[in-house]
Amino acid sequence: MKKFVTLFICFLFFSFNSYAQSDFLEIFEKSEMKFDDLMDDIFFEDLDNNDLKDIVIQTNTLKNKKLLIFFQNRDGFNSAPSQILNMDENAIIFDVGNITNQYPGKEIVYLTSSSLRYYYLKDNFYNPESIKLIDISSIFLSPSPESPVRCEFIWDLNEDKLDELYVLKPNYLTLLSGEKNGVFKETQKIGLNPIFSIRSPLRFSSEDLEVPENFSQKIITRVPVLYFEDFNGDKRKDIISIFKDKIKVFLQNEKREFSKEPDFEINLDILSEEEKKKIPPPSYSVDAIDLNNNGLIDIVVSKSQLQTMGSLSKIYIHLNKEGKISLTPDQILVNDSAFGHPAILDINGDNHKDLIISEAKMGIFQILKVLITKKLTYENAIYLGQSGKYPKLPATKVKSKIRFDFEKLERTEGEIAYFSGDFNKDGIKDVLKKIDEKNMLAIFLGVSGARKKIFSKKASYRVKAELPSEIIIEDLNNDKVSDIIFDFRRDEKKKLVLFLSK
Amino acid sequence: MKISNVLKAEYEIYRKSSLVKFISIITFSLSVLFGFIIFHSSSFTGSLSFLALMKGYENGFNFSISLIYSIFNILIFFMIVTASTTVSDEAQKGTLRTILVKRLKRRELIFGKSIFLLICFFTLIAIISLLSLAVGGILFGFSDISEKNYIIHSNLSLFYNYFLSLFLMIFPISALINLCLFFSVLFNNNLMSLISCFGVNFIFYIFTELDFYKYLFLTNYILYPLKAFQKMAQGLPLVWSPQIWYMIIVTVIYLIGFLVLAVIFFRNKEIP
Repeated sequence: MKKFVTLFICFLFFSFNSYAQSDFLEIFEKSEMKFDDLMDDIFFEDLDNNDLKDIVIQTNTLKNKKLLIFFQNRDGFNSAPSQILNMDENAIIFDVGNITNQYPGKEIVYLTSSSLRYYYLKDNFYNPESIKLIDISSIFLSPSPESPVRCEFIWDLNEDKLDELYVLKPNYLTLLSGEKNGVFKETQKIGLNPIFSIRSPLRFSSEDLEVPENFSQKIITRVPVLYFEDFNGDKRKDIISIFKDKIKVFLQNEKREFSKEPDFEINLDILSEEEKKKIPPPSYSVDAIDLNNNGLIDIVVSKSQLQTMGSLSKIYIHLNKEGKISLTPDQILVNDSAFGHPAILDINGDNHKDLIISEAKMGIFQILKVLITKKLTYENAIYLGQSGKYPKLPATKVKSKIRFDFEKLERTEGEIAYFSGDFNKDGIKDVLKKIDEKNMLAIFLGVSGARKKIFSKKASYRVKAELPSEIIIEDLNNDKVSDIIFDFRRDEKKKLVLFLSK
Repeated sequence: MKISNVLKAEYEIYRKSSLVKFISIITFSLSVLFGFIIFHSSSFTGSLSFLALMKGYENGFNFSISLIYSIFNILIFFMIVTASTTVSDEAQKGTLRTILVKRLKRRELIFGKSIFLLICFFTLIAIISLLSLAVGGILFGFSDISEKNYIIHSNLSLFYNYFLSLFLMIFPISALINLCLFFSVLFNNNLMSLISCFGVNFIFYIFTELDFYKYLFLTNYILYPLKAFQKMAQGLPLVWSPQIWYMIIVTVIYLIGFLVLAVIFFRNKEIP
């Protein structure tokens, strides 16, 4: 009888385990892409408008500014790039968008010091010679010897299925609208200007004089962060500009024109006079996002102060009430940990944004502990939002850790959790954990309707693999199931590994 | 009736001894020291001043609780020294036999000593708390903890939770006193009693560092009510439950357990 019971328990244990921890490759198909140069940047865009996202890789070489384009078809990706596009040497920034109806795919538009130019897609191939769109000068004066930077300056602001472009000039922001034949002209000037400052060297030494760059004055140009979302509930996209703690809103009217001067302006005064005097002053970030799913952009401010005897961090929630943001926050969340920028996304699929805050207890003793163990343990605290209100305490905390190599001054390995993926198509975000010590990737599924233990305790899927430093989660094949991309950029490996959902 | 006699006798013993004076001097010195730091905080760099210790919002409650918290860390040491030598000291001096001759039951002596030490230390904490609260009120005032017109904690809830946290300190203090009293009964030598008491507390402290076991050890709860209110005074959320229930259950177990053990061991103890 005892033997039978033992056997039965063992059977239950193993059958439960085998059910609970399925192989990763049951739901993903692995593929690998190789290229000759080191990767500098990567982005995902449906270039050929076939509802499947293609991969564009910028390679890091000073000789050529290259874009490696991997088109996706119904069978997935090829291991070699579909096209290698040598970009114009004069390109400073670039973006991708539908600026003309003349060609079937999206155009790659770039800005030089004197003009806007583009590459168009025809027969699944970008023409190697770019076409001039318009002569224009901007704050970008000369190209960098490095790869051009991808900046999002193409948006469909008037929602006519054709994208507009905006370019920052020294005094204003100019909007360029196009006709269907691709002829563009400057249509609007908006009173939004970049901020210039001059940086002088702190001191000179005899060695500095040998290198002119070390004693030259530099003009630093800082641009506001722009959001294009509805601010006043008229279902039209407005321009929300955030520079430090100052917010300016330019509304779009019925004629699809933007106000030249800000319709709404607020200075959040995030740092008090005392805080400004502190060395270092508290760090802060400002986000514009719709928290309560009412279609209006709300403001989330996070502020963190590292102190000798411990840290204190705060999150201020300013809800948008009929196109007005009040200086008095609707909620302040205070925490005695240090944290950076909070991740804001809908974890439990209720269309209300939740907060993921990476909290690390930081004080003199914790810093000493990190220096001795070369390891930092932190917790990802998840606050589930309800109509823009957040509970005092998080629903759950997911532990992560990072190991450091102080000789190379970089993080080496650790246990990192990613929250942006939904791997079982239930609309609830799941946790993907990259466990470097075990060379393992594990998925903990999100639990439907849970308000406390919102992720499964045991990993539902796991796989052993050669792990990269970074992982990207993106739905490439548009099946509402997230795919996983191994980004070996920091590992200096010339490859990309994809786990595409089946 | 008999316990009240023990309380009187204990009072006489401690009144005559210099220990109470010593504790008062230490407490006074610390208060003066902190006072000095506060008034000279502007000459320190931001992170070294007492105001930085009182991180978060500057108010009377935060000042008071930060001060009590700092003093209490030192007071625990004296609490252990006093309670762990209360019986062994008398055994060493030979006065224990004289006390027990006076028709006093051994059980009553232990209860009396336990209650006396609790009253003694709790009164001390209450005096320091009220004094520091008064000083905090004068220096920083009592007001809602608010920022940009958003009230994080109201004045009323701060007052209520301040006194609640002080009241809840009865549990860990009495548990610690009884634990020390047990070691005092166990040995006839002050040094042995002290070493074992500090040793056990040190082992408990190590276990407190372990995530899973920490809930079982008294050292995890010694400063818990003060720590919880300190967070509230800094503007952090205060949620008593369920941690406070764990504290009450565990400390009551320690309190009763070590008191019963002390009585049992003392009943069978040979008095030198």
